Amino acid sequence: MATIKFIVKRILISIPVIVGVILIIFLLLNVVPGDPVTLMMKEHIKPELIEQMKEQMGLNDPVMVRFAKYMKNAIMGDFGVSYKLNRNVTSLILTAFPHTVRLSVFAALIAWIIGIPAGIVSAVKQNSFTDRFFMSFSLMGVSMPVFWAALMLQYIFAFKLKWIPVSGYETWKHLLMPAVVLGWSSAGTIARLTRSSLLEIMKNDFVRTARAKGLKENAVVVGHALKNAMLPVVTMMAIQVASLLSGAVITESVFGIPGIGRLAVNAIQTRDMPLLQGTVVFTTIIIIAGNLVADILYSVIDPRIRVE
Amino acid sequence: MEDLLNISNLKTHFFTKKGVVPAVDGVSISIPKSSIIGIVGESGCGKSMTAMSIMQLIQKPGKIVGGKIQLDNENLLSYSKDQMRNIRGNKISMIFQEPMTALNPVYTVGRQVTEAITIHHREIKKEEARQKTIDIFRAVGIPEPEKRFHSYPHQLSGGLRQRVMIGMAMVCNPELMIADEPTTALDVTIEAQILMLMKNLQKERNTSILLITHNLGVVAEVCDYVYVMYAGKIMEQADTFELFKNTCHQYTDGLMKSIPKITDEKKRLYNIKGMVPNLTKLPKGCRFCPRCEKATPRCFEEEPLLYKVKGEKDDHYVRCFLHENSEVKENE
Repeated sequence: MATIKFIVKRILISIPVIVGVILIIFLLLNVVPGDPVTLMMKEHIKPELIEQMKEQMGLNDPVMVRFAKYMKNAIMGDFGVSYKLNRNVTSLILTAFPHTVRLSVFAALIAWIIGIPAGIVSAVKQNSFTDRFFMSFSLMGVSMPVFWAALMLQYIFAFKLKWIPVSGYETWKHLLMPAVVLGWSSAGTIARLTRSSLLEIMKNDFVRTARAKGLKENAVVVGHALKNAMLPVVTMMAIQVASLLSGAVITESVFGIPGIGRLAVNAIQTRDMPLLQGTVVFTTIIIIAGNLVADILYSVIDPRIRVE
Repeated sequence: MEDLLNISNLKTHFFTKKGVVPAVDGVSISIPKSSIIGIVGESGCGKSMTAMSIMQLIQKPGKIVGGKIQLDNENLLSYSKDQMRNIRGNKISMIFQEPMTALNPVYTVGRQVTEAITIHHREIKKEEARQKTIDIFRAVGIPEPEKRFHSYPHQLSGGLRQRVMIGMAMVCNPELMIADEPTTALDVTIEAQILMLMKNLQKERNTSILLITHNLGVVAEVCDYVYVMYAGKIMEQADTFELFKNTCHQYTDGLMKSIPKITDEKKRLYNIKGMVPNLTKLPKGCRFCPRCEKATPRCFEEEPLLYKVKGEKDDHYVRCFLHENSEVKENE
């Protein structure tokens, strides 16, 4: 019961955040040079026609009027129609989203399956060769720019070795490289966080108690220290998944995946305001949801912060 | 009386970048069956490290470099890792100073105690282990044990948590329980309750207790026999009554004088002059001589042995030239 109340409260609190984000994006797009009509019509069209078009689309109304109109429709779930694609924004986002989900799940699995064990092993065998190997591997993941890693992988595995297709989106093979690129950097963050958190927890008195009980060292680490050490890691994981789900802008563009990220990039290039606003609102909701999930998981793991 | 645990000439050293730290330097302790033995000393004198050495829980860069730890005539130091794990929590258990942090915050106390049973007794079913846990909770005086079984450590007071720790340590009916400053973090009324509890459990279950403390008051209350430790060595050892009646070592005397008395309220509290020596740069002679009021030039040159004191009880030894005689403790 208390948990449901907590969730409802959090959802209510997030409404002003979403409204605020919409307002900011409205104001920002208002100061960005270039208007969609001119971009759509190219330069050889008569200025009067552009003016007429703008008037028709309501682009000449004051910002606040447009904002109010937009909010009114948004509450009903209508985020307008894309200027460029002439399709309902909501349906465009919902079509793109499954692709992003597939990529995110794949990337997150790679990150967790590699990151968490690597972090644990590095902490247990601190300063060993294994530790150094995993840590330099994760340092690479964290510090390589995504576009560079993507291009390198494409060059080696697709262009030179011809193992997998360069880009596109048909089979699981197409998903492999983008997922590795995204997963690698997430795995790096998770491995480093798991390692440092576990090392800190292993200094605690209750670890000594667990050893004094006669538990094996592995059972001490996995059974007693790990659950405590996972607190910051779980938060990080939830936030990472949320940010993956809101579209990996660069990766999706480099590998040609028709997800949320590419949708947003296209919207920016064409000044497609309804579509851009739609993707930003969607992203905001995903991030807020991710944080909510992190908080709920936190209280599941740690009884001290469980709402009572 | 027959000895349960016999430590002879135990040496635990820490190999740090600043040099070798002899935290435990040739300590010999005997723990007879069903007795309470105390180790007293200041912080950093090596008393906790002695306890951790018995459990073989010394972490790097520390290492047991010499000596014998005999339990039932078997040398624990020759045991394999698996054999030693079977001793820990089962035959020798340990409770710690900080009941606030010694329990895992993310598991219920019931689960943590049940675990101590199931590690050593695979044959015990979950429900039976649960019942045993509730029984031991009742035995250590935890009110509403069925309800407390499902409590998390943060939901219990310090005193209750220490009771849980004692329950966890006693649940496998160990032959020896090591209590490392079990009451230091508790307030005085709770301290008295916990000490009473430990004394009663010791009588009922015939378990021996090795009590590590810096508080001579606690020693006087519960211990049968006391070892006074300083800078990694035993300075004096005697029956508790004998030690208080016939204090021989200047260090023990200093500790006794440091106990605040309710009668002389206007005086400044007594303190032993100087500081605990840096263990990497120990003085050449007696380790206590730089702080000793009765030190002679010889004390700075030669290290005294544990000499037998001629007193009422015949097992009183002191490491001081003032009591030098031909009867020296074996292993010295």
